[in-house]
Amino acid sequence: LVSSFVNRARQLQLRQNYRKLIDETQLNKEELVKPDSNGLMENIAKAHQLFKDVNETRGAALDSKFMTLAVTLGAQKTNLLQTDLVAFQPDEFIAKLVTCMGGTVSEDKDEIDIPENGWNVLGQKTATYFTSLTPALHPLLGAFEAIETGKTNRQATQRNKQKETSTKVQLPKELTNYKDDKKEATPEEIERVLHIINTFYKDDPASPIDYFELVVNPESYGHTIENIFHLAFLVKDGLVKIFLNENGLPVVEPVNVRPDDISPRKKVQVIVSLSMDEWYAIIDAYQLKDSLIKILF
Amino acid sequence: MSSSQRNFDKAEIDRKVNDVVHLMLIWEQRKIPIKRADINKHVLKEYRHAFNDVMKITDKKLQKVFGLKLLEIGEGGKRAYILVNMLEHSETQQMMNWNDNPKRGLLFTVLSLIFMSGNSMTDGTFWNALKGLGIEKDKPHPEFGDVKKLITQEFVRQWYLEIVKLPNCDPPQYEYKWGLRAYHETSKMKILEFVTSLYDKSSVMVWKSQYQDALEEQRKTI
Repeated sequence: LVSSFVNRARQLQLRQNYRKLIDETQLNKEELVKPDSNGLMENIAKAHQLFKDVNETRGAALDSKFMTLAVTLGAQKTNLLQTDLVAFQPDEFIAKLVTCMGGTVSEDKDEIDIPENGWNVLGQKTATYFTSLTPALHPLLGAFEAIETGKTNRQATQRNKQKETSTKVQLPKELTNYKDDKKEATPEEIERVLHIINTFYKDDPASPIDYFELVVNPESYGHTIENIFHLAFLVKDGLVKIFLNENGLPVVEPVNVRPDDISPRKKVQVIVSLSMDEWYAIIDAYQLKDSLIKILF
Repeated sequence: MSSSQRNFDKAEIDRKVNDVVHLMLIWEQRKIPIKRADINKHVLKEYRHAFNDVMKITDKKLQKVFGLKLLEIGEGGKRAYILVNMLEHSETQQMMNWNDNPKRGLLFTVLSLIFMSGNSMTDGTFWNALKGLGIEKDKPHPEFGDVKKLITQEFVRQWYLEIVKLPNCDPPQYEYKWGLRAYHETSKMKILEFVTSLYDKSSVMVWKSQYQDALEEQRKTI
């Protein structure tokens, strides 16, 4: 009698444990089906332990219930394993983006550090995944007349009509002005720059000329840019070469001054830009007072 | 309208076409789809009855000269036009220094998140995810400033995103989805390619359900 009472209590406990296990498994099923989780196996082991002491039908029925659940989840888990499926986790995706941008995340995930250029980098990397990127028009003088009121439009068309009749007279005038303005970009100007470079190099054959000392005109930003422009032509035509000296500074040297220099000409394309701030900085750093390439006019 | 006006002055039509081409290219600055009413108001005016003819020629010119196609998207009251690049883009597109790279990076992130999460995300989940990028909904961002405005207003006005209020929710909840324009400027498959390469996986097919989804979309557009 005593043992049957003890047994009934034991069986009750087992059934309670089974119900708890089933509920737990149901609740955590998303976690349990993940390929890297051992939870399901652990729960099955727990059920196995419980079953050892079961000796009545109700307990056995609960065990069956659990096993049915476990088998269903097991099947789902297998499915995920077989196709090498990866579940998309937003947090994981975001973390990888941070790395992609060259950023870092602290251990406790509290500090996210994305470099200044990070978003620009991401934008460039993702540009190819857009099937359509459209450039927009940015008129130099702003949006055109058609967006203004109709009044201006009609005035503009009237003006245009008047212009049409006098174009013939205007054309020749424009052409002659154009020729004069072209002086700076003519081959003559470029030759002059070459001549200046050769003269300076002759004075001091061992040392190439510093690039910035050569092109910067401390009195005119515009002329500095023109010098860069002319120098670019000389490099393009292989008359002059630019390279970095042992201090990492760009220097200029005429080509073919050294008879023993038979090294093949390497063509490298570089884009040079100089903002006005940078121009000021160079004048300051080099303490430039005068320009090597004098303005003609 | 007298019949003489209805005899379309070809020269005038050509002028209008050129103006529409200009208008569309400048309108593209804001990336907001342009409506028929806008085109009529700013350019066509008394020639609005020639709208269809003008638009046909405009499309041809945009294609021939700029490699851009005129696309009508949306239905009914929400119909508008956008420009779509016709040319096959190559690596040069990636090399080009586009002005709005950061915004594009953010947009792509947002579109990827939404698609990979099953084409929609509740605003709670959405902003929670963005926290991992240092983006807080109500804090000014060093790169984007008012991110909330950028995402919930600008991207929506540009038809990149659609934000829908969920019914029967208190406090109000919103669902973030792709806007019509997004479908024309990128594709689910492209997103999948990006994500696959980001995760360094062997094939887009590891994302089982998203792959099926992307495949469906491909079949529809062809």
